[in-house]
Amino acid sequence: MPNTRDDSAPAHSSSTFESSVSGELNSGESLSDSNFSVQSAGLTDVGLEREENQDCISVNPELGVYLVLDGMGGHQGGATASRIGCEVAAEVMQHGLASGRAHGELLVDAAKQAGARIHVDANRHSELHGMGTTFVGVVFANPQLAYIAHVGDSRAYLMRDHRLSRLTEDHTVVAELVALGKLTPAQAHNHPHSSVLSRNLGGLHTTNVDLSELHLKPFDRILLCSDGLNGYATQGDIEKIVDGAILPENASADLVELAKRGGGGDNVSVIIIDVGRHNQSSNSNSDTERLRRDGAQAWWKRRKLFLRVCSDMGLAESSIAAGLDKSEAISLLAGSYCEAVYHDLNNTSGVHVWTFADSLVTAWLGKSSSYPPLRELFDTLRAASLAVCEDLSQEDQDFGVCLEIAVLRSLVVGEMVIGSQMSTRIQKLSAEIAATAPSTELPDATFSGNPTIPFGDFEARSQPLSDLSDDVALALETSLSETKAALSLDHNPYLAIVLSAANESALDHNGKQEMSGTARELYGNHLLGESELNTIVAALDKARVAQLSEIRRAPTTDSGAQRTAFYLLSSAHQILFHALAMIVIEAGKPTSDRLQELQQETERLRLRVSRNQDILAHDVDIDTVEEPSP
Amino acid sequence: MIARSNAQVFESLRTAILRTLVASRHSIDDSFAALAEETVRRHFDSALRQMQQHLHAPSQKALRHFVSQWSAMLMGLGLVPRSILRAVVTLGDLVVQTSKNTLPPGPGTNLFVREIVRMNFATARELVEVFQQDFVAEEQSHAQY
Repeated sequence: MPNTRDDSAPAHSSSTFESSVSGELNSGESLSDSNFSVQSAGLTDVGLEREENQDCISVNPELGVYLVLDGMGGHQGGATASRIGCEVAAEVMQHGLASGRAHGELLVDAAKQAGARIHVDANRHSELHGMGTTFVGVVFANPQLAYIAHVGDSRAYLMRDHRLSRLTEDHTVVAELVALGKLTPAQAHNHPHSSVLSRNLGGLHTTNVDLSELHLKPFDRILLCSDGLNGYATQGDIEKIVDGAILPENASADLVELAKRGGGGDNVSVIIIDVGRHNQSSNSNSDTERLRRDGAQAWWKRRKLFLRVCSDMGLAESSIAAGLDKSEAISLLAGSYCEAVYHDLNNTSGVHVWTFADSLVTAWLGKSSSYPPLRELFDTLRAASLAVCEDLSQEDQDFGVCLEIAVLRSLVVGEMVIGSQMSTRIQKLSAEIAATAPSTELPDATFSGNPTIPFGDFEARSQPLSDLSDDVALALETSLSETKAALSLDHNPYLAIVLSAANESALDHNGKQEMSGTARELYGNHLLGESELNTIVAALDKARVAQLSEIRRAPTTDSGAQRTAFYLLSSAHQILFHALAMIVIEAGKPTSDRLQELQQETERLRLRVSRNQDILAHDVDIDTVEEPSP
Repeated sequence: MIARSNAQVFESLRTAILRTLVASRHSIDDSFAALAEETVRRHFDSALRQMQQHLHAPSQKALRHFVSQWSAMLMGLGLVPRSILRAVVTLGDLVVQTSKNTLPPGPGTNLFVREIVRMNFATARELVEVFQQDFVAEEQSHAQY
């Protein structure tokens, strides 16, 4: 048998808290009724680069209180701040809840008292001067209501209906500048000080603490984390794990592993709190539960079959296994993959297969750019996986289908890894080409660079977006909504696309590029016949006439704005029509070239036929008649 | 009662899946968050229609044609290959989740989900093949300079 998750856990220190509660909260409301229960698990880890863990977490299911703190302030300071903060806040919560204080207000007070205590200690001890900590905490008031308080950039997320949404806004200098409109989100993303906090506990004696209410539904899952998670993993990847893992302890362990896979450059802490989720797993997710319980075992039981198929298909002869003897190759490639699938089945995640594929693909593409051996390897692993599923189907057909679904998803993960690495390489090459290309001018043949229809002033807009007045924008928006209402009964499927594209283009001085995309989509997404092309042209006509009429009709006090909007919109429609015409010409060019050739050939043959007719008419020897050339 | 075909089952789920996809586009990838809602809706709608067509009459050639065209259009909107692949995988995951949550549990649903996952794998593979071709083309361009 492979190692259990605990056995295979990395050697560096981690603290784990796991809990399951079905009792009374001190609010007096029951957590043990059939519709509601809370399960939770927390994990904090030093990560891969830091020497000290300056995060601190507290999981108290009896009180329904959960805290994550991320300390800062040099050697010792950060760890001390988060520890003090955690202890003080937990103590305040315990006493306050016992005395019946309101939950939300109490959580804010706990954070403030923690901040005050850290501030005092920092001023007392010079080596701790400047220490502080972030804070994110949840307290359950009753089964349907929780409060979330936070300071800094530790976060709370909610997983509901398979979607992960963030519940807290980071308190960073950059985020506040964005809120004030002094930076755009794009500028903020690349800002060198994007992680500088605007608030923390301990920096000042009193701190503003944000508080929000969360109305809960059964099967909700809450995630609290330090920035060691979201700084090293995308929200999409976090979402997959939080959504997919059956148990909170699996989710928290996989999230920590995800952060490390992303570099692990910071301490990472997570707490997962489930609301009634285990009821779901025992009912609607029974297949998933069965896969986790029995599927992993069934897969592992057929390990030899998996390895044998891989061996029979010549996996050891793959160039990826060059330099290894046969048993080493089978063990290293097939054995490791088989074990990764086992762990992922056991944990209802894709992390282990991802890690396997990522290491393999990185190593292979690092020394060779050859893709076919990778494809062959993954095809072999797929064939062996399907052989295992087929074998299981002999015993239990439906369970075999369930296992095939799970192993195919593992294989999709493999494709995802290969594609991601290729994406990086393509982007790198494109950047190199752009840097070394001798000229930035577009070649004449480029679609957008060689207009066949003169547009005069329409080609270069003199009206950049920033110069558009509110009146112009309003006139355009009003025209769009009025036109949509006026044409709502028209069933032309392309109308909505044309209307929106023209309006977007009119509002945006870079709209021409977007028009190429829109035209390509209008034409290329549907293998067009003549009638569909006519429908598109009809949509273009209707949209243009209706939108321009609405602009004329719009009541506005500023006739200049009306004229500008009219000009921009008519320009947008012309550009869209031009773009579509070019796409049609482009698509028809091969046929048109061939037609021209055929025309020339026909003309040549006609000449010969006519010459031969003349010869025959004059009763000349048949041998002099020209043979048609092949 | 006559059993519904996989394409018919998919048809019954398509609107709900599209709504969820558009609503959760921010969690697919940052670059999807930057696109207009209508643009995202159009592209996902065409992908879902292609999936339905594939369930009705599977054709690897048609799938390749669609994947190639779809990815080119998304790249035209500024998306990188990784984001497009992520969208394909998310789309497959979401169809699986919606099916499991909506359809009655049992062997019929499992067989339907298996077809979806098989198709999702085939689509991801085709996309990787398209990227490989792009990469080779980029390498050739690079060699010219």
